[in-house]
Amino acid sequence: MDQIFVKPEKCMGCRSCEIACAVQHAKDKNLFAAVLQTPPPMKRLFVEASDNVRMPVVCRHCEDAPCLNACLSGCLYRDQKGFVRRHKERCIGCWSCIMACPFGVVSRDPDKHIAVKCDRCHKLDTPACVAACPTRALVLVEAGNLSKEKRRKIVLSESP
Amino acid sequence: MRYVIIGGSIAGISAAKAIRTKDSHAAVTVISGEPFGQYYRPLIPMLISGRKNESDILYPEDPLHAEGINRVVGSAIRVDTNTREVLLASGDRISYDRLLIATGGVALKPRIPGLDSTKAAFPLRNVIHAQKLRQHAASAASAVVIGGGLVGIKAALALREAGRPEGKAPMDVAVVEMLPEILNGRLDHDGAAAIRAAVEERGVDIHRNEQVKRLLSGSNGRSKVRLGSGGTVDADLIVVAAGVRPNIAFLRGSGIKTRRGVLVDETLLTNIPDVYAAGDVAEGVELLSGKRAVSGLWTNAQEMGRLAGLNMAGGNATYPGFLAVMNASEIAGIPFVSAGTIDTAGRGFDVAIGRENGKYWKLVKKGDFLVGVVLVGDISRAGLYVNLIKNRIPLKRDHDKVMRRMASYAQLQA
Ligand SMILES: Cc1cc2nc3c(=O)[nH]c(=O)nc-3n(C[C@H](O)[C@H](O)[C@H](O)COP(=O)(O)OP(=O)(O)OC[C@H]3O[C@@H](n4cnc5c(N)ncnc54)[C@H](O)[C@@H]3O)c2cc1C
Repeated sequence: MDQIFVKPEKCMGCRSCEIACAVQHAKDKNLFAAVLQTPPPMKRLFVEASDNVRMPVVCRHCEDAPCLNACLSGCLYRDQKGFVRRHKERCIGCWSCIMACPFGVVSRDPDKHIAVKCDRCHKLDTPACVAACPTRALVLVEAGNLSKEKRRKIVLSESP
Repeated sequence: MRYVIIGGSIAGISAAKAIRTKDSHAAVTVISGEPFGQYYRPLIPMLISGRKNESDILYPEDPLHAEGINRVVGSAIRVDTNTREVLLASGDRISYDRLLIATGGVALKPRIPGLDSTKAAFPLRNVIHAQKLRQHAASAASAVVIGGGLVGIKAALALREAGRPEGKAPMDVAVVEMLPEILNGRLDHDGAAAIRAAVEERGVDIHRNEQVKRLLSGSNGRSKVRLGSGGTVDADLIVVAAGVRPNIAFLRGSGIKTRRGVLVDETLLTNIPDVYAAGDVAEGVELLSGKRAVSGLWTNAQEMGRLAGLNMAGGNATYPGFLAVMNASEIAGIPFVSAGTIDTAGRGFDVAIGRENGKYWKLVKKGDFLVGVVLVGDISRAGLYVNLIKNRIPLKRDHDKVMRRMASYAQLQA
């Protein structure tokens, strides 16, 4: 499974990724329509800034995914690419996934009363957030069957 | 190796799937007491409200069939741990090398005069109960729910919504709760009070500090219940939601040790070699108190089932224990999450509370550890807090942010 890697030291906190994510999940996938959409489209990742860190926090599609384990309605599932996705119509808004996600990246759609999470832009080659990041703080690593450690090395060896 | 699992719900299914991950050839048999099939138990109130029908609550694809797991519909009535056999009500015997007991819970039946003889009282634990309630709801003009826990409140709201023949008003629904507040043990006082107000807003009458004393059969087929305080409430239909107890009656004489539930160690093994238990039937250890307890929660049953399965198939994983409170839900439009120690009155915890625009949160700390969280109205990032509690992660410089409900993943990593 391809993975999104986050390099906090490169993040400027510009939130381009958040905007791109929301637009990608809007009815019409362009910024102008997305801004006018009511209710507004929801982003699936969050740029967090504290005293000494800035970073986009994004769904890891964990191998042993707590959200998927906790789902009690058959909504969350792992697709063929390995991404943890929703059968939207099955979500009953029990919020077990929100309770379970240690990254805090599953949210509640207050209008539809269903859970919202990253779908890794499964129809795109490059996820919208990665494509939008101007500093390459978000990078896509084609994992293939490389070990986690090797993948990390690849990320680290990328020129700054 | 022959693995046998009694009970085909979330604990049993998780165990079967876990066994498969370690042993792709073993014969795995799940004995399921429910002919209906593999379904999501927490969805059954939606059969009553009409928001879902039977096919909607089934697993999207049969989780057992997909894994080549054998499913036998039947009821285990005895376990012989000497000959290693499970006896079914049909008379069939099933031999095992390793056994999992995952029989979950059954509704408690309070001793109330008249309850045994009425044909219009049901618990809400399985799909058949929900179907019966749905059927009666079509013609009943009133319902009383005995017990104001999560199941009782969900049942009450579902009955209020229940599909009615054209032009018929929703039925009168009352909840009778013995204690001073509903959702006891699942939410703290203020959180529960907020939910109660929203439930009442939806037309459910809630009687607190009150008991159902007896059932009265009234004139023209209409029934009532007599309350402890003396009054009566119309009750064409009754939902018995007074709690659940582990399903262990069939283990009598098996030598498998039980107390409230089946006693298990940290590997989910019982006192008998090769016999494990998981889910609502198991009596394990509560993580924060270190005391023995029965969980009653889906997420815990899933975890226990999987771990038991791994260990049955030769693993050696240990279970640190479950949180007795680990609830997420949305009731009458109000989302909430609660976990860990939530009742803190006079118990020497550091407690931080916030209120804003009808939203409410409470964070509970002991020493360097977050031990409790209640989020009502705004549940964003609940998992950050629950993770700190469940995995006993000490708070560092982030104390302050966490206790002000401003935890962020970035902050916790820093
Ligand atoms: C209405 C409702 C709503 C709920 N909502 C939530 C929620 O929001 N969050 C949450 O965490 N939990 C919730 N729960 C609780 C959750 O459903 C249980 O914790 C969970 O189902 C326990 O799983 P289990 O596999 O241990 O047992 P169970 O689901 O109880 O399943 C046990 C199975 O074993 C079978 N069985 C029993 N005895 C025998 C026998 N002798 N032979 C063969 N089969 C047998 C039973 O028929 C049953 O199918 C809810 C429960 C209900 C009823």
